[in-house]
Amino acid sequence: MKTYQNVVQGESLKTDGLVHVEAQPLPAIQPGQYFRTFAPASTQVLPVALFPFSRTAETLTLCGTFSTAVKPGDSLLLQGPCGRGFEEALKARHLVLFAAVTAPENHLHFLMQAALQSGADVAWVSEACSLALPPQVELLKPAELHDAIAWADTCATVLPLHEISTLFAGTRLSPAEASKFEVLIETPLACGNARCGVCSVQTKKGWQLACKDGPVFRLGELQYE
Amino acid sequence: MSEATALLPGATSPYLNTAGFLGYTPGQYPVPEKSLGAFVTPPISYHARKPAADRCLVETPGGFLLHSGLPNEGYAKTLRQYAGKWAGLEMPVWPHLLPQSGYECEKMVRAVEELENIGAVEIEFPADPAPALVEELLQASLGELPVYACVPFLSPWEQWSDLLRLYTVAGVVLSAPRGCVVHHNATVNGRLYGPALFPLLLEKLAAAHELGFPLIAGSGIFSVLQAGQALKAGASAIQVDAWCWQLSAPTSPSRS
Repeated sequence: MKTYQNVVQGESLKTDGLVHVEAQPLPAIQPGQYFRTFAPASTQVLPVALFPFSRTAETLTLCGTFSTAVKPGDSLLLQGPCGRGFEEALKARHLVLFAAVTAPENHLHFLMQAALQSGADVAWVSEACSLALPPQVELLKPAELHDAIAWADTCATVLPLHEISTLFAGTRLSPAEASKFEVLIETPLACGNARCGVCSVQTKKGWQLACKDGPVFRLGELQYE
Repeated sequence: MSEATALLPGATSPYLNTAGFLGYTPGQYPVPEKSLGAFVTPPISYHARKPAADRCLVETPGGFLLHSGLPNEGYAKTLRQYAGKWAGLEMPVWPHLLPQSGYECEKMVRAVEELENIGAVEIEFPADPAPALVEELLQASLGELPVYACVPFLSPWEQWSDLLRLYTVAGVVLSAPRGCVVHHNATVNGRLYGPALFPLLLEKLAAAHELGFPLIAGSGIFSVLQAGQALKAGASAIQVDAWCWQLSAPTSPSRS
């Protein structure tokens, strides 16, 4: 796994959790994968997982919870890309992105961009979307979720680990509907390869680690109450 | 940085890692120009342990609280899986054991004694153990290998000094203290880590030095300066925890 040294560009948009870095020479990163990031000159104690938000030729914009004030010109170390990203969602011709209220919608933005670039039709389901979505993305309310799932090849969402079961209780997904979902599990991803266990996810194959085996899982793989 | 003048039994230098912070085979050690004097394994229990239902990592001012439940596959499966890799390491290995009884302790210590390249064992006592249990564990751990007692450095472990001497422990690891946070509206107990702990550790080192045990400073060290200060304050060795997780600058534009 490679570590890259990069420089934070422009204004640190800490209010909406976005950090801009120079794009070169960062490798390709798939939606749902992440970089472990660390600002060595800061008071930061633990690396933070940052996910791709958008990319241009000059700039890679990352999103996530960055607890340390990052200033333009700060040196940022990025290790990765890490983990398993969205797979089925990238192959979909009809993709539904479900932004749950309690999870960061930013994490789905890069997947949306990739899907549109590959010519897929994308629907974004959200109670209130704060992102500026392209006009070709259909914006739907949660009441329309079941119809959207019926239309979709694949669905994608982001959820904190402890709210996986809430997804089913709140939205009343059937097993058939659930089988269409890939979920990016939001959980601390701090230790690299140390196997600290805090990101453990219970799957039908046993306990797995979101940092290495995820953070994207098929919803059908997961064990939850 | 001043060096310890006498090496600890089972180690080839005074620079170690804290259990659970380098995985089951060691990754990169963060202390510049120093190599591991021994590799401390993640915690290993007699029976397999699942991740805690309320597992979390919560940042606090100057550090964080970690609560994982210490998941592992149990000693039999873990040793089968990693004994071969540990035997091939350049440095000796210290299995970090979590016995709940003298029976479990004896079974696990005897098992690791059969492995190659084992330099010592660390025994972590359960939270707030009764003196009888402490003695039971120490007695059960007696054998061919040096034994290090691993205690939260803010716990009243000094009360066991006589027992630790009686059972000739090779040293005491002053490890991360316990604490709690409120997370998702619930109180969660776990271990505290971070540079904010270092002044407390230094104070404890100075006070504990008089007891005469070799001490391993195993909490709060996040820099070369702090490592040197701990050794100068009387620690025979240091253990590095979350500093192992920090990234260091590549020497070339990209490095593996």
